Order: sequence, then structure tokens, then C-alpha cells
Amino acid sequence: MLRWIKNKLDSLLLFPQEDPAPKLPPPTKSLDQKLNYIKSQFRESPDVSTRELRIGPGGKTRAALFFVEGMVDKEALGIRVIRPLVQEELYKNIEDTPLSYVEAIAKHLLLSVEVKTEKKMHEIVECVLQGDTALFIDGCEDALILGHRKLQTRAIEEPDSERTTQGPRAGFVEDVRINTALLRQTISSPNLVLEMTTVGVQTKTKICIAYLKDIVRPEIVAEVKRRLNSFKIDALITSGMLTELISDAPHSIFPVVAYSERPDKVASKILCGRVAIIVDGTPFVLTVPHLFIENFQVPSDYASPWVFQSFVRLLRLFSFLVSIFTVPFYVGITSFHQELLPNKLAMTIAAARMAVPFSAIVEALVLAFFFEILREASLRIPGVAGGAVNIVGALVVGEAAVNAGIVGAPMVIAISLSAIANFVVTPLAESATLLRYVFLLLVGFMGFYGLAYGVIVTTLYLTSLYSFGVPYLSPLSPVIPDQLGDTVIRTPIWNRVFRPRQFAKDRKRAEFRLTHQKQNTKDENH
Amino acid sequence: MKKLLIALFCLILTFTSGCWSSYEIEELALASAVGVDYDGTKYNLTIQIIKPEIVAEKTGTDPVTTIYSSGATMFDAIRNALSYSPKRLYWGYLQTMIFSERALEKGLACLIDFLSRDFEIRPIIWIAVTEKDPEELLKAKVSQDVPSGEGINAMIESQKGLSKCVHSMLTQALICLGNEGRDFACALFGTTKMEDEEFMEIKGTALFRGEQYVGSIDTLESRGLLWLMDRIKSGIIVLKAPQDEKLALEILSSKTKIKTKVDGDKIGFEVTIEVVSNLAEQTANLNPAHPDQWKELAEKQAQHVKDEAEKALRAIRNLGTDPVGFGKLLRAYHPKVWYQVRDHWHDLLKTVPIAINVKSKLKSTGMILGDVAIYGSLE
Amino acid sequence: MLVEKQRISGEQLAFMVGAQLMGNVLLIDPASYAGHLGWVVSLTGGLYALFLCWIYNSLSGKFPGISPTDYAVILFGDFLGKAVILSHFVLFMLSAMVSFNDFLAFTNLGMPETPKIVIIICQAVVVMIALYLGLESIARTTVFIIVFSILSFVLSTVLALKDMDFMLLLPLATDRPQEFWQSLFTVIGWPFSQLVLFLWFIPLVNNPKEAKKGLLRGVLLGSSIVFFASLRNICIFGDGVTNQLFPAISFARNISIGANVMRVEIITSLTLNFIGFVSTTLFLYASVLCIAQMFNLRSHRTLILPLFVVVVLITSRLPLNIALLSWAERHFIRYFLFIMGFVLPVIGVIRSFFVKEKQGPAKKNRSTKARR
Repeated sequence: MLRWIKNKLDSLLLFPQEDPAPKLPPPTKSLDQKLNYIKSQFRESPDVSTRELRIGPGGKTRAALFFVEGMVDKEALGIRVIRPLVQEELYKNIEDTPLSYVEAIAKHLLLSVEVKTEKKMHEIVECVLQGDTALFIDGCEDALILGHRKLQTRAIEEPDSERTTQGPRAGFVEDVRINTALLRQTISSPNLVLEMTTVGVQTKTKICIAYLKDIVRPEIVAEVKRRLNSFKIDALITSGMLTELISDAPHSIFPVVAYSERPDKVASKILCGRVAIIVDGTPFVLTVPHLFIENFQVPSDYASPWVFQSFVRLLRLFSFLVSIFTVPFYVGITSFHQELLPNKLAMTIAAARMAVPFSAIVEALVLAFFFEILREASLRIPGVAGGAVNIVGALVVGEAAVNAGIVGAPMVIAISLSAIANFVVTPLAESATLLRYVFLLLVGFMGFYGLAYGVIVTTLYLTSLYSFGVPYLSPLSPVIPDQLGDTVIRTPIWNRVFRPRQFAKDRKRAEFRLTHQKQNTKDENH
Repeated sequence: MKKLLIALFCLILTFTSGCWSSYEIEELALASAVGVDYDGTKYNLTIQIIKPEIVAEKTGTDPVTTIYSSGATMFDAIRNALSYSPKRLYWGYLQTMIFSERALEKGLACLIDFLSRDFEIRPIIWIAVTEKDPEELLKAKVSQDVPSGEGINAMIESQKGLSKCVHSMLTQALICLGNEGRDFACALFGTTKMEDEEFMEIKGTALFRGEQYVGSIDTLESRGLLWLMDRIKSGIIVLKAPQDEKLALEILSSKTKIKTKVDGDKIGFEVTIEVVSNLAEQTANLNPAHPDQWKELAEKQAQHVKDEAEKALRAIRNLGTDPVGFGKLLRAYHPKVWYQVRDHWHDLLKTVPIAINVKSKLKSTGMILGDVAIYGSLE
Repeated sequence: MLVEKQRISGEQLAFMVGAQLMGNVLLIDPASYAGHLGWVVSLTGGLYALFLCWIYNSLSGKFPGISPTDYAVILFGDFLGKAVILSHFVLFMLSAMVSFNDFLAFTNLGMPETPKIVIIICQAVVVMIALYLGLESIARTTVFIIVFSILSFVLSTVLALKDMDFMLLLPLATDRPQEFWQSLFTVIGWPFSQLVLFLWFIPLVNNPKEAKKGLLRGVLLGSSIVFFASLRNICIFGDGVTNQLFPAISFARNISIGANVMRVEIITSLTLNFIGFVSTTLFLYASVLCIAQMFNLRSHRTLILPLFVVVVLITSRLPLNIALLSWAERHFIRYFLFIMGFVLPVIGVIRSFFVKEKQGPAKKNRSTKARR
């Protein structure tokens, strides 16, 4: 009985097991049949259009161009496709060739760069919907697919979220072809492999996997490909969706897959032995595997002298900790462990808190949520009014609330400090915020002992995370000594001789330093 | 299903939590100094509480309120203070405990057992003794309008520059009581009248024998005691010169080494004090360029130090106490002898020969050489 | 084969051994009962631990890659072997709960109003999460915790240097030899005989040679920290160290630098909290591995929830006044530990010379009992 019910339910499945078989016309030689099919399919969309031609000597053969207005370069079509086709003199050259009519036209007449032949109608439609032009010739089954795309894309400019002080000012755009071109420009090695695949039933989004085949470990590439084939999805719009689908730990608050908008950053990651995934339609390129310490590595680190940049990196690590722990520390100290305060500070804080009606934990939660609202609002408000919101927010919280006695001044300082420190390490901003709230609740519950438990659980969790087979806390946690040079401090470039063992099979880099000076002095002495 | 149970469990946990040990800092009364007196039946405490809002606003008014409470034991008296205070008393910022001589009649251990057992009170608080009433002492002002607790703290700290009393924290009391061979010594407070107001003053050192308070010595003898204990950090030595002139030397550093000389049953000690100081002030027209005079000055200093040390030694022998730690030394190097004599060590100390040698050195003479009045002084 | 599929490296084993030894000792120094000769007791304990390390290395070296649950059956026979394993299981559970209780007492100092059961549940949940996440996680977290602990230990020692009086160490004689010997026997039982728990972790190391080196290094690390801890406690307190229940915390509270006193005790408290967690987790993990291996379970995770219940129930019955446990310790716990940690492994080593080449996977079928 139950089984019968289950079977019935299965047959009424809401999501189909596979694509419904499209109603396709069989390949025909008749141009009219093809045109009729197109007209019936795209009756409601006038931008999918056709243009009939008369080609061949004497204009005897009918042909038709099938394209989408707005996605094709009409000028190029006219010059490179239509004009040679309608010039009768050129047909004399191809009459003697043994090739079929379509092939002859493709090889001798057309001035297009990309030419393909295709029989199946649904493939032709797919290509045309992506911007190609199809040339149907009456009497031939094959159609020619020409690439004269003119897609709308923006200029290459530096991404807003990842600015550097001294580095290239280029950023990825939404078109996957341009992005792959940018990568090739940076890595000119013939070992750079760019494999294309498609994901998404409705959107047919193109995905490109980029890696250096002599460096990367084959297991990682195989794993990436396996995961990309392991799901079926209706639409893939952003690379964030792809992250969720292929990530090791989609529930985790720590990012296990990195994304970046900068070609130089992605290129250096590929050179370490990682795999980059470029998704059409979004400028954010994913790189796997991703380690925790990469969140603190920024391209401008490698541009300035290493001593200062080591200091800056330590500062970044410190500000990550500040953004998580400032508010819990403050609440813990004032509510549980008052003996930790020096005398004068204790007096000041006690005096400041006397006017506040709430306990420290409630005050902290109220202010923290208010700050989150402020942050979220300032992301959405268009530019002109954005400044006003910032000022209002600062004034409201800073001055009025403190004066009214709803919150205390030290708490405002603690929250603002942690919020500002939050934005120093951009990929971990969400993780830091969530951790801050969790620790705040733990501290409110049990003081610093609760915080200790929270820290232990977080460390346990982080050490158990894996990213595509590589331990998440990698150079620190299973300690890999030759990789420690780029974690907390940044050692000079000639010290980092080895590629990371976790993802590279060819480990020796070509990094060494010539000592020019000694040779020069030797010459001078002679 | 399991995840649902776990989530429910966590949810219930957050709602039933009561944060039992959480006290908001503004609900606490911050005690800064306590004076303890004993009137034969009960302990009377004088507790000074600092009002944070007055400290924070930095107005000129006195930020201190005083609470009096009493009880059968120390902890009882402290808890009874809650009857007089709407806020819970917090002892984390306590800086000084002052005991009156009467309170010490029953022994030091009664007073400090609670202090070392409780988790809130820090062991690095100053212990002081006063011959007067602690209530009057805490009412007395500390100059520059600092609240008494902090004022006592600051006064004791600044003793490092003066070296006129032996100041000790609770930790030293615990060490002295827990180990054999050394007795506790702490600062002695009193009041003086200046401009018709009572001001606090450090009057010397209070000495103990084991738990018992045996008496006090004044500031000069305290200095001698500090020489013996190797705790001189800085100070002034005043020497007499001919024609009733005085010289002041500033002590830069000093080191004391004590050696035991045990010969069978005979016990003796040898104390070697090394002093290095600067010429700080002189009205005797001494010429520092003259090597003989310089050497003579050094010798005078050595003699002065030796006198001070011997005076202190006499005083502690009279009182029958051993704050220097001769017993501890004996125990460390000659344990067998120590185990024989330790029962009557304090009496034995009165007769044991203790030789004091002083090596003194003078370093510099400051920015000028001789007397300021080169030409034209009073004839 | 082995129930546990994850492996750790030799250095991680060393850190875990060091954490185990540091854990209980940093909190409640067992050598403090001897007064100013505590450092001699700690030193002797350290030498004993090195000897134990040699015994464990040779015992596990004869059965590489095999869990003690299996080779105890080989060495002692079926019934006795299982009895030995069960008694080890009881030992580990008891040690875990006593260690848990010690840290509970310590936490209770700072927060006296919080009911005991709340802290028990919170800490037990954290330990269960650690057990669930597996051995690699525990090992890596232990490395972080040990680095932090050693740093805090060095920091607090350096800050207290000016208050230390080295003469308090001095008389090498004592007039209370009774207490000295008591303390010595205590130290031999707990914490050093508890090293037997690492017999279960040695087969989980990447290769047996690394395991031997790791165990030795860990014992050296742990014993030296134990020795220096008792040394510095005596330098600060002298004979009064016998009266201190938590010497490390009292030590940290005595630090005062400059005019503004520093509360270094918070770092020491956090260190002790972390190490307490590590110590409890290691004991419970060994006990889980014992049972899981004995019944050939697919994974040790099924045992976590019942273990949680047992630990919470029994720990809540233990007294908060841990001095009360000293009677039990003196009368039977110390002998139990000594037998489990020293006598049985020594017998095992001796017996392993006579057992002919029966290494290899343990007999899985319980139906084929060994005929004696």
C-alpha cells in the first residue's frame, strides 16, 4: 500500500528526471521547412530574425541568414557574408572543387573567421541564441554557423572591491571569451588549459576551467570536473550559485572556494597549482582549492618591500581578530570579569554605564543589529542619498543615543571599531560578523569561559574542513614548513622556492636571485 | 530528526540560561581601602568606596564614601557591609588593607586567611598597620586630594625613592607565614597635622614574629633594616662634615650579601653591603677633585651605613624578630643545624654574632664640583 | 582492522602527549604536596615517564599498526585480554571524569554562582563535538593549543622572575620525609602512568618509527614543562605551595609589574581551560576507541551520545572540593594507575618475547576462541 502511494508520488515528480525531449524537426534539405520552423518557434520574439538571400551563379539558389538582432555585428555580416555570397564572379572558383556546395562556400567564399557546419536544428538554434549567425542553403542539410558576435560588454576597468596600490588595473568582465583572453595574456604558457563546458538547462551558461597541466595535480582537476557534472540546475546566473553547488562544505560560514575579479590574482593562483573556474555572465572567477590563509593574501602584498608588507599582513590578521573579539571582550569584562580592567578605566566605564538602562549584552546586541541595518541600507541607497544616510547614522548613534542614555559611549566605540576592522579582510567579512554574534551570545551566557568554548569549537571546525582534498588551514595546521613564508608574514620572493605541496605536483619554482653586485666589484678590481 | 533535536536543545539552552555570575560593572561598589579594627568581641571595618561618576567627571569633590560594618570574623564583617550598601561590594580593585594594632592581637592569620582564600581579592594588595584608629586614619587626607585607597597605594609606591620603611604586599605575608625562617614586616601609618588638617604619613615599619605583632621601628631604623634585607632602591644619606656642615649622598644601587658561618654548633653571620651613590648636595666645600677627600667621603658613607644597619639589628634583636631572614639562610645552607635550633631561633638570634661590612663607592658629583658659593659666602 | 580511519603525524602525537602531561599538572600540581622538594619529585616523575616511554615503544613496536585491543588478546589470551581492555576502559573513563571535575572546580572559582551542571553540559558538548569531528581535528587543535600554552607559560614565568626567590628551593633535605614519599608515589600514579592511553594512539600514526620518535619527544616536552612548573611554583611560594590548591593560578595572580598591575591570570585561565579540554578529549577518545575496536564497530561516532550521558551523570556526582578525592587517590587510585600503566605493559612486553610471530590482523571472528 505504502509502496503504491510512493510510486504514484514518484510519477508525479515535480522535477523531471531529464530534459523533456524537444520537438525537433528532422534534418531536411528544404529551406522552407526550416524557415517555417523558425517562424513558428519564434513568432513572439521579433528580434530573432531571418534574411533571405539569393546566392549562386545567377542567383538561382535560395539561402537565408538566421540571427538575433542586437547580438550580431550587422556591418561585418554585410561585408563578410552577404557581399561575397551575392557576387556572382566568385562562384566560378568553386565549381570545380570536389567539395560539397556548403563546404566550398565556407572555405572559398565567406570571409568569416569562425565557420562551423551543423545539421541538428536545436543545436543551430542554441548557437544562434548565443549570438552566432546561421546560414541555411536550400538543398543542403548542413547549415553554416558563422560567428559575428557583437555582444554588449563593458570596458575593462579595475574592480571596485579589490583595489591595489601598485598593480595592474584590469578586471574581468562578463564575457567568458574576454576573460579567457585576459588570462592568456597573463600566462603565455602553452600548458595553460582552458576547457569549456556548459551548465544550466535554461541559461546554458558557459563555464571554463583553467589550469596549468604540468603543474596542477590531476586529482584536483578530476575532482573539479566530477563535481561540475554532479548536479543539474535550471539556471546559473552568478558564480556564487556555482560555489554552493561544488563546495565541500556549503553550510560552512567560512568560504571554501575563493572568488576574485582580478586577472593577476587568478593568474598567480593558477601558477601555484590551483584550478580557476570562469563563469559566463559574471566577472567573478572562482579558484579552488581555497585555503584559509588566502583570505589574508592580497596582490598588493607582493608589490611593496616585504618587511612593510609583513607588518601589514600581521595587521590584517590582527584586525580580523579585533573584529570578532572586541565586542565579546568588552561585554565579558564589564559583566563577568571586572578585575581585568585597570582602576582608572574601570571608573570611566562604570560612570559611562550608569546612565544605560540595559545590561551590557543587551546593549551590545541592540547596537550591533542597528549597525547591521545601517550597513545593509548603505549598500542599497543610490549614491546621492548614501552620504546622508551615513551622516545620519553616525549622528544618531554616536551623539543622540549616548546623550539620551540608551547606549553608552564605550560600547559605541567597541562596535564601531569591530565594524571597521571587519572590512579589512574582505572575504571573511561575513564569517567575522557571524562569529562575532555567536561569541557575543556565548560570552553573555558564561563570560570568558563561554568564549573559550566557542574558540575551541571554531578551531576544531576549521581544522576539520577540507577544500577539494586539501586541509583548510593548510600551511599552519598540518605544518608544511616551506610554505610558511607566505602566511603570517611575507618572506621575500627568493625565499619561496617551492610551490604548495598540496596542489602542485611540480614543486620547484624558478625563483632565485642573482647576486650581481659581487661580480661587478670583481671586475672593477682588475 | 537528529538535527531538529539538536536545534531544539540549543534553543532551549539559550532561553534557560540565566548568566548567573554576571554583574554589571555599574552595579558594583568599588572598594578601594579597608581598615580593620577589633574591639575585643567583633571586627569593625571601615570600607572606602569610590564613586566612579565623580572620578570620571574629574570634578574637585571627594569621590569617596565610607561604610562601616562589623562582624564576628573578617568575612562576616565584609558581608555585613551589604546591609549598608545598596550595591554589591566588589573587592577586585582593593588596594590596601590597614590593620590596627588591636586587630592584630589575635594573630595575622585570622585576618588574612579570608584574603588568600577568596578569588576576588588580589594578592598584590598592600598591608599596613596603624597605631591609631583605622577610621581616623582613613578620614585623614592624602595630599593632592587623591582618594585614600589610591593615596596609600601611591605613598607606599613612592617609598621606593625614599627607602624609609619596609613595604609588603599580601603575597609576602603569605610567603613569610608559609615558610620558616623569615618574619613579616610591613609599613606603619600614622597621621600628622599640617595646616590644621590631618594628613597621612608613613611612620616606620611594623614587625611581626610569626603571626604575632611585636612592635614597630621608626624610619631611621627601617632604613637600616632595608640595608640588611637588600631592599634599598634609592634614598639619601646625610653625612656630617666638620664645621657643622652636611653632605647629602644619593644612593644609586646597593647590594647585600649574607653568608652563614657555621662551625659545629656555633652559628655566625657575615653581612656584606655594597653601596654606590652620587654626591647630591654639599655645603661643606668639599673638593671632589681631591682623591683623598673623595676617599674619605666614601669611608664616611660606609661608616654611616654600618651604623644604620647595626642600629636596626639591635632593634630587631630587642623585639625578638627576624625579618631579614637569617633563619631562612641557615635553613637553606645548613639544614641539620636549623632543625635543631628552630624552636628557639628568635632567642638564639639575640646572641648570634652578626658582622657587618660595608663597601662603599662614590660615583659622580653632578654638574658642579665644589660649593655653589665660590665667591662671597657668609663670613 | 582499525576502527579509526584517520591518521596523525608523529609531531602531532608529541604535542598530544605533551598536552596530556601538562594538563592536569599545570592545574593541580601533584608534586606540591612535597613542599620545597617538589621539583625533585617532578624530576623523578619525568625519569619514570621516560622509562614508561621506552616500554610503550617496545610494546607497540612489536605490533605495528595493531590496536592494543587486539594485541592484548594475543598477549594475554582471550578472556584475560578482554578483561585488561575493559579495565583500561574504566581507567580512561575515570581519568576523564576526574580531570573534568578538576577543571570544573577551577572554573567554579571564577564563577561561583553558576550551577555545576551547566558548565558540565557546556564542556561535555564541546568535547563531544571534538570526538565527532575526529582525530585529525583534535590533533591539529592540540598543536595550536600547546603552542599557545607554552607561550603563556613562558610569559607568566618571565613576568614573575623578579618576585622569584631561588633560595626557597634550597635545603635539599626535609624534615617531613613522609610527605615527600607520598608525593612521589602520587606523581608516579597520576599523571605519568596515564600515559598508557597513548598506546591506543600509536597505531594511528603515519608510520611506526615516527610514532616512537613522537612519543619520546612528547614525553620530554611534557615532563620538562611539569618540572619547570613545579620549580617556578616553589620559587614563588616556598613551602607554602602545599597549601595552594591551584598553584598556577595563584602564581599568575602574584604578578605585579610597575605601577599598573597586570592581570596575567586571564591568560593562564584560558590556557588551563584549553588544556583541560584537550586532556578530557584524549581520555574519552581512547576509551571510545577501546570499545569500538573491541566490538568492531564501523565507526566510533555511534558511541558518542551514550558517552555524553554517562560523563555528564557521573561528573555531576563528583565533589567540587577536589581535596576530598585525595583519600581515594591515596588508597586505591594510585595503585590502580600504577598497575594499569606500568605493571601490565611490562608484563605485556615480557610476554611478547614468548609469543611467537602472531602479528597481523587480529582474529575478528569471536566464534573461534583461542584454546588455552
